[in-house]
Amino acid sequence: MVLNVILVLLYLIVIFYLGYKGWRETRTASDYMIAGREINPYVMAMSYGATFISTSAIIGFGGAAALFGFSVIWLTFLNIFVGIFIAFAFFGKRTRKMGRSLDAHTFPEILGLRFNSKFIQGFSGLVIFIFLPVYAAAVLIGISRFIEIYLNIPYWAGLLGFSIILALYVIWGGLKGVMYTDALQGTLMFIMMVILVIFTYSQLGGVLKAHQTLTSMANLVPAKLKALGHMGWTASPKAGSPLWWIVYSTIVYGVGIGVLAQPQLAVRFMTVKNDASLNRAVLVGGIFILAMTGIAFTVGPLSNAVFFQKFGKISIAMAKGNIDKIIPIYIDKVMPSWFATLFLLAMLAAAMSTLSSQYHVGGTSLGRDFYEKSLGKRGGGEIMATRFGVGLTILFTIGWGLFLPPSVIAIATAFFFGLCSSTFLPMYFSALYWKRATKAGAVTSMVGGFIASFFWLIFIHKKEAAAIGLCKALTGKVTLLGFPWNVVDPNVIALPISIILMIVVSLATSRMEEEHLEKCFEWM
Amino acid sequence: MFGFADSLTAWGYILSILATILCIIYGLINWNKGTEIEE
Repeated sequence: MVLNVILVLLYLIVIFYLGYKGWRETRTASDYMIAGREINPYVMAMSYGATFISTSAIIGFGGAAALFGFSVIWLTFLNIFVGIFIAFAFFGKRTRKMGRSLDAHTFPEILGLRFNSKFIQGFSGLVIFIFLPVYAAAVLIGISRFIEIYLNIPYWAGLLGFSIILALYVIWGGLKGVMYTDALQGTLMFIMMVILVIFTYSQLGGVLKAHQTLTSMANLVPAKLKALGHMGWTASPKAGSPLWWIVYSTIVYGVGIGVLAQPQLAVRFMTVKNDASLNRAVLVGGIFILAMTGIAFTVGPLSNAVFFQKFGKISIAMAKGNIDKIIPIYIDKVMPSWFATLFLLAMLAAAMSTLSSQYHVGGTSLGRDFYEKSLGKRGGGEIMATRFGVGLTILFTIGWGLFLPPSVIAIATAFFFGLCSSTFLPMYFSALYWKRATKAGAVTSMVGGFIASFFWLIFIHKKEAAAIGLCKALTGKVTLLGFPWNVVDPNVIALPISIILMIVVSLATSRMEEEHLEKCFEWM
Repeated sequence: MFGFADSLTAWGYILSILATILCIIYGLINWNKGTEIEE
């Protein structure tokens, strides 16, 4: 226990030193928001990866994989192919160049300047500022559950203490402080995850034998899950079953595509000075994501076999029904104690690196995008307004962290990814690739995608509609439509609506000024 | 295939590794491309 505390303190000292280094090098608003556009490619790639992957992916989705099985590995494929390869090669380079041409500092700002619309920048900023804390809370719950199980600290105390430590270096360090600490944290996460998968496979007698052992356990799937379409941990759920829709429409598609329109990731593209940095980041990012989600979604299902061999129970029974506790319990009960201590640091790192960027983006969304640009406030108070925004984002995140129910990490993450995808993705893609896209098309697509996503969430998608209760209050029915529609993710419906609105309205309205387009596409 | 109960799941596993190899090859081929600074 004493060793644990010493290691955690040493780790925090290094983190604060890097935050301080970031603060020392922050002179301008550009430094604070996009790290002066001069960040090292390794730091950028690790920062992108460490921001992308958090306790939500490892503990939340790892726990979901322990419940649903290996079919979740399709999300790893999309994380690498879409979240790294497509994101960097096709979105990153154009975002960087357009960001520089238009002197944009944030994701909403590049959209607002490209379509010459303060409304787009302000609305995007507000959507991010209001809903990002739900995703941030998912990450915060992940680390708080781990602290609760491993350090025996009450859930609420871990949640508050962790938030205070994080607030200190984000509010003062700016994006430079965030990215320096990210690079260290990403490296630590990588090493621990590789050890975790090697240990797990060796416990079960190698790769092939481990998979075969898990395949032979299909008869142990609880009856309740079988009724929903569970076919065993090494098989896909039954096609068209409720579980199939949850795995493939919410987890794989919703999160896999939604990564392209994540504001805290898109802003990373604007922090490097040339395309070579992005090319190099593809290599580092691809390996890093495989080591993160690939391992989490492999160890999750295999934990059933290890738990069954050692304790005669499957994972969900070990965690007493809370999937967010499966990975922490696996680390605590199965792995050696030296590993558990270092893994705790890796999870602190995973949570801190993602939360710090979420808080930073929450702050810039309020300070820069809404307060300064959309409301037209001037007078050099933008860093102060951004710091105020960071503080508010942290408070909202703590509120959600204390309020959300158990087993919620993967669902809360998928909600934010899906919302960003249907609200921003068609507009973002058109901004970078389609000169014929117009301001009216972008506004309609953004607002239409947002409304469609929320309508489906409140009136159709059973999980949220039942919890919110508005549909029942207005119509007397829990959801307006029955199966399968009530298990289809909002993003499956809202994203196509948003795409159609973008195309139809743009073609029906007049082209933007040639001079403006020339400036936007100056370096492409 | 690979000890999995169905081929769809096995392909998810295989494609994840292939996508990583694609990222490595892309990164190596383009390692020095795009080094000119806009200014």
